[in-house]
Amino acid sequence: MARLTSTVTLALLAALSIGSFVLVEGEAASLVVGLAAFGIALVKIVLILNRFMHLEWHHRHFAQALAVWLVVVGVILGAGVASLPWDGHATIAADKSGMRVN
Amino acid sequence: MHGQPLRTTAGEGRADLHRLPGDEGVFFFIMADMGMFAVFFLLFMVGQAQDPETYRASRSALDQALGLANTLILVFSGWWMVRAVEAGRAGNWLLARRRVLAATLSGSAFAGTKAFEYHEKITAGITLTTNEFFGYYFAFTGIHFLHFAVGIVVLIVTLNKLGKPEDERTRLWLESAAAYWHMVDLLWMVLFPMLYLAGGTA
Repeated sequence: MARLTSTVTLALLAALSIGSFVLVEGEAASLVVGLAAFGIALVKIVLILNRFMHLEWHHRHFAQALAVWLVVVGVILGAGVASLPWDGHATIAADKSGMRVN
Repeated sequence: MHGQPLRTTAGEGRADLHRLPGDEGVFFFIMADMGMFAVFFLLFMVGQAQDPETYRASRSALDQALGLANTLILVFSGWWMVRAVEAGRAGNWLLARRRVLAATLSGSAFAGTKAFEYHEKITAGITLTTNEFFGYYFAFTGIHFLHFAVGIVVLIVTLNKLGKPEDERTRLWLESAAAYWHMVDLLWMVLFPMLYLAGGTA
């Protein structure tokens, strides 16, 4: 059962990673997509903390500190993405070969 | 007691469930590191809010597929460490050692992809001083890479210790090493979308 759980967790983490990549790659740059990408990241972190590191609520101080960290980081990332000037339209990723930066 | 599973009685099993999976000092270090990276995330998001167009244009120069590959590499390597801890807790040190070796080898691929990525950027003239986005990109991924490098050393030391296991001490080391390695993994879970995905591209 433990092996299945860690393997299922691995599959979930891989699927979520690929999912966030597919969600954002190239086309639909938007507030919703940005928030979704960070939401997926936080879900993956919870999976790692619980299923890989085996941290549970009965570990008290560390579990509480990690929960606070998750909330704080979630607020930072969410607020950061929400503060961007999204124009609400899908944009196409630039051709990387011709890219120039300031 | 050598080679015997840890949970020999129901009472000990219940106490074992509440025991932190690794040395408590390692978890203090993990929390401190995660706190430091939370500050990094804040700095980046503030910078992005102040100059979103530069950040979007710069993000376009990153290879999202490589970022995804790095994510999958670390996740896969982390899974091997979970399996190694399972074997260690069952007293099967030889199997634990093999799984730590698998974690080390699979995780080392991250170094290859990161080196390729840095090389690609630098040869294209994109460096730490190109703009604020790339300053943060090289700084944060560089610091993360240092953590990764320390993690590889820890895994190699773990391999050595598993070669001559001492039951309780070895188990504690193994769990602590795994906890540290998972931290390296979970920090990348934020860096990947923050740097490569969310915020849009030009």
